[in-house]
Amino acid sequence: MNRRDLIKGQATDVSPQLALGALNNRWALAQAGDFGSDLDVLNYALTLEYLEAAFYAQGNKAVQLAGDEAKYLKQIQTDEESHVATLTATIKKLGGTPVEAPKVNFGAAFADRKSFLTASHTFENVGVGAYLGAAGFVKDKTILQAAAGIFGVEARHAAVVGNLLGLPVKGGVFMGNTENPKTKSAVLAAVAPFLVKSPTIPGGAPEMGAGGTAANDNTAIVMTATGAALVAGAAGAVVARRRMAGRDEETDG
Amino acid sequence: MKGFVSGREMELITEIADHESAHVTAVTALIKQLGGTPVAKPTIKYPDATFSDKMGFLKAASTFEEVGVTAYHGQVGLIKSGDVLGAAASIAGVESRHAAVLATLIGGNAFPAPVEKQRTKDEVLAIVKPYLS
Repeated sequence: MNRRDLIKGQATDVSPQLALGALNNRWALAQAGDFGSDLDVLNYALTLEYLEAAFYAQGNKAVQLAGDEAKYLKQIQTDEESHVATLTATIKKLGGTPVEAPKVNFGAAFADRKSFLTASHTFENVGVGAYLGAAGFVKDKTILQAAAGIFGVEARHAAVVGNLLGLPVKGGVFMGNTENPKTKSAVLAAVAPFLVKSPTIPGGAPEMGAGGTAANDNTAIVMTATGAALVAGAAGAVVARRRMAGRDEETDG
Repeated sequence: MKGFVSGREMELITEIADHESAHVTAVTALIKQLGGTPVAKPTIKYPDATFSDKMGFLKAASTFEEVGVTAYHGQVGLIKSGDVLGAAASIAGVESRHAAVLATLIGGNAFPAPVEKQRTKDEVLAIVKPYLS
């Protein structure tokens, strides 16, 4: 049995010791040098959340979904917008500069229900792996708490969308008995097809991590910019801070 | 639960059950590896309605999963070891998946908050107390 089997959760006959080794290895998957600071991790997360928020804002307009399915995807959009607000507020609170929304193009993802949900399933699982892969770099416990809280919700999204698609229970709804981390490079490779190279940076892809700003990208997709401005407003920031402080006990919607 | 859960629902429930067994094994091993003594399995007593029909069963399952999620998230700030935190997080994410899927089966809210909520150990124990005899 190789490590890949373990990580994918396909091995059911592993000894506890082996399973544990896999868990620990997993934690070590994040690579030294990927992130220099908590702010780097937060901006990395913010980039992904911008991408997700834009994806649902566009998809929910472009694709006609019905009943519960429409409700779930709308809720997911709201969650992602909230994550953008939370991360933006946190970065500012720490004295950092939030990255700008990346320029995105989701291509054929909104052709129909299936392509929309399939892309959603990919985004959510990439998000889960990204948070888990980056968590080992976060030094501040408050930030870790918030990141963990977001990570769990991305896992909810991934499972529900996988189930809406009728994907196999193993490997479609649930991705094993533990979540799998993804390295920064794996995450960036997964989302690269949806990022538009900025025409103002000849030959360069939008900067994604470490304090990157997608410089001069004033044409960042309008819907994203609008959504971000809305959710990053005062109310959003207050909610974000309360959530960060772990004092938020009321039940949302 | 045999008899009133079937098809896709049974597949989902069976996989969730397998996950929880795996979590018991992994956490037990982790405690031993750290030189600790795993607690004994508690004596559990489920209310009569728990297994009398599908909805009673799925609602109890949903309650446990949602409590489990908040229990893990309530400990994030208290865990010192990065390895333990990594292991706990990778389990917590799966509990979130369970909670969300079960919510869809009982007409509950799959996404009750944009960030997972937390409960302290005392709060969690108060909720599960009725099931411990």
